[in-house]
Amino acid sequence: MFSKIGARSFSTSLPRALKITSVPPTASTVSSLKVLVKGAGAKDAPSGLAHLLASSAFLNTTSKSALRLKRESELLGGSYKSSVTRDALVLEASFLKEDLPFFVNALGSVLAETSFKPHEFDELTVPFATHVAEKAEGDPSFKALEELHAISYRRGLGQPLYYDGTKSFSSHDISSFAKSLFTSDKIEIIADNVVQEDLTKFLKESPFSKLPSAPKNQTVSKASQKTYSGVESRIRQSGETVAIVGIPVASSDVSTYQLVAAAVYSALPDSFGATVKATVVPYEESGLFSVSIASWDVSEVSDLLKKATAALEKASGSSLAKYRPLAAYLAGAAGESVKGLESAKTSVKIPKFNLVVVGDIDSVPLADEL
Amino acid sequence: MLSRRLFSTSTAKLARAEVTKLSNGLTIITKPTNSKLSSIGVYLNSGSRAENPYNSGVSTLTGNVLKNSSIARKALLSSGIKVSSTNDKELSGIAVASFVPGNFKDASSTLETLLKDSSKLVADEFTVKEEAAKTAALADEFEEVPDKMVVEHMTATAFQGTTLALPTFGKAETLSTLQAVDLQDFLGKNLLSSNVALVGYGSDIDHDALVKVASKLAIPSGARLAFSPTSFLGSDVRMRDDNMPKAYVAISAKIPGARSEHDFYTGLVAAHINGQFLGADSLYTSFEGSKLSQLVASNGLGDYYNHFQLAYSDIGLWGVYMSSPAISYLDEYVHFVLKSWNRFSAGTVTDAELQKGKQELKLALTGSNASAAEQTKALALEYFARGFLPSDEEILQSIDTVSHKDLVNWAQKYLYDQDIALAASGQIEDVFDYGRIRNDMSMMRW
Repeated sequence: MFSKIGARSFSTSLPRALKITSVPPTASTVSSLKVLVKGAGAKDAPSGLAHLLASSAFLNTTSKSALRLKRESELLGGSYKSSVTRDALVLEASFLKEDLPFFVNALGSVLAETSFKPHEFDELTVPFATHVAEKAEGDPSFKALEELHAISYRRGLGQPLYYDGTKSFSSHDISSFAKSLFTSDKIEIIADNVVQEDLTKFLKESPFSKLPSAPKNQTVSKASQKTYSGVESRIRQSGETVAIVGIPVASSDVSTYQLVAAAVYSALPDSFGATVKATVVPYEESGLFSVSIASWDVSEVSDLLKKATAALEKASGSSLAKYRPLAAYLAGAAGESVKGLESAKTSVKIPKFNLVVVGDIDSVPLADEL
Repeated sequence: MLSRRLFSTSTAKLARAEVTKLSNGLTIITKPTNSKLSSIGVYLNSGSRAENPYNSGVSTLTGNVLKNSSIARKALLSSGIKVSSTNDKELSGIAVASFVPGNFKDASSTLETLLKDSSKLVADEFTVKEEAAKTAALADEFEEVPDKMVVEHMTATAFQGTTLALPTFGKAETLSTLQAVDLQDFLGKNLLSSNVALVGYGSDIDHDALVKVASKLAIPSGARLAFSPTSFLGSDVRMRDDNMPKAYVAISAKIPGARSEHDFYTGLVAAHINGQFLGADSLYTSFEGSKLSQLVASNGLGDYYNHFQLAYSDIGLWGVYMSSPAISYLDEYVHFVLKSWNRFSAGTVTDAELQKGKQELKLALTGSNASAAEQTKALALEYFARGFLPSDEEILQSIDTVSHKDLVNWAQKYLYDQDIALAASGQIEDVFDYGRIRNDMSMMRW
């Protein structure tokens, strides 16, 4: 069943533009691969299309059916999944070290050979994408963060992450979107616990080598991401109340705002009932600083919100160097890079913040009352 | 053919946790990895099983007092060291420090200070009252999370009348009565060198450095009293609540403890053969090979199930947690899940299913998806329960040796016609009585 793997004859030249990052092998028996497709994120396509594309991954391809792929992976013990971020389409697989060639092929097939059958689109892709979107919407913290993106960026990064059914698409739309995107210059492969030479060899023999390179005369004329500050949005609904204060920041300021996040976090008292998060999410063209406060007790939300905005005002222009250790922990715990912290500017003039409140909005102060 | 290696993987030997036992019985465990955060934790081999009905929750409360202390708050704000605590049936993680690699010194000195001051911290009556109220609120909140709550009650009914039945995180009524003297008593009887493991996990964890830290910790020497013996009783407990959106059920049978080496891996393989069912939460559910998954998906019997093995040091439970919004199908859902267990005893599980279970288990046991703090807990739990930590290579070999025949023998011994422990909550009017469900553990035909 698997004897074909080694016998594939593809072109043996690895597309030069393919970017590979690999973490050196450790003693672990488990490897993982992550493939990022830049330009296939939620910000790059009509709202919802990128999520539908991500929900079409690992289905039927010209070389293998979705059923066969699932059953073969089960026998190897590996797992795969696909998700969408605002910047990229993310394909991931984790598996026992010796199964590297199988999963390199599986990931390559998704990009180079997916069939995009109309029946799969209707019966699997759309119901699954809708389910994911509805489930996420049910979480007020997610809803508040989505709204914060919408008011901070409007277009591009401001588009919803998931397919909300506003626009209707067909399998043909997905297929042509994918064809225009899946070129070797947009692909980045991040390998963990994999021997680099082996990976390069298997990539050459896999469908990755069939990916076209970008058209030569393609001119990049994308409008740069606009940002907005001092905007407020409030959504009335029952359940937990969430307040989120956010500021879109330049990519070069991300590390500095990690210090700001730590400064605000340390000014908030240990609270029993509330969940407090202070993060900076880095995107390609911007970063989104945010402090979110969620609690079933709305008075706790308004109290912490007042303290957070006061701390934000105090942090503006003052020296933030002492918050480095806490900032490093907060960023590390959120899975973000902490490399930039050492060289980050330790003082910044903080502009007017954006505010989103979801839940019992009557009991939470307005932005201009803070 | 499946296991045929197509290329050399690595010359380095496979990962193994390093274990050192000091002369006073204190154990140091480290496992190097390249995770984003590192963790070191102080674990007692105590947990809720070392409590009694009158101080139930004291181990959780002790951890909470340490983690919410001003020492811990200061460590987070000024050095970026996050202190957390955790509890289990046979384990209390009273102080676990997580940090960005490079902060090892600050983290270990935070733990040193916390242990040195622990008797002072738990002696403060006011703090203890305040933390007890919070811990009681958390214990009440735990009862609102159906999956955890149902499995907890299943364990409680299985081992009723013994200390293993006590709730892992305590009970609100008991917690609110606890005083400083209870915490002091708990620490005095359990924070003893041969009952403690200091566990490190992360990229900058050096074993020798951690051994040095361990020798400086303020831990009196001695050993705790042995756990009182426990016994399994086939029984059920139902907490019907028609305001909940679904029905939630957990069913299990008695298995030997984690020290029964071969049964341990056979039981885990069996759990992974049926594995986990995600329903609409996975795009690929309809393609799964598991017979049970296909049956549940195509008939809309339920939206989730997960098979588990809970192996404590001397006894364990093997079973399933399941949930379903289709409340009127609950009788069939339970029936067909137990019928799928019969397949293990009858030997009709296919080679492909066995292979899937074994491979999935290999990834589950040797992979590292959890956070660094969770990894230190997993290492401590396994060490306490089994008495040793196998290397990844030994784990893979042990799993490979589980044969179809082993599986059949295991199932005939521990599942076929055995008593069950059952707990259910939510809309469970269609969960049959104990006798009818118990009957599904055997077959009228073979």
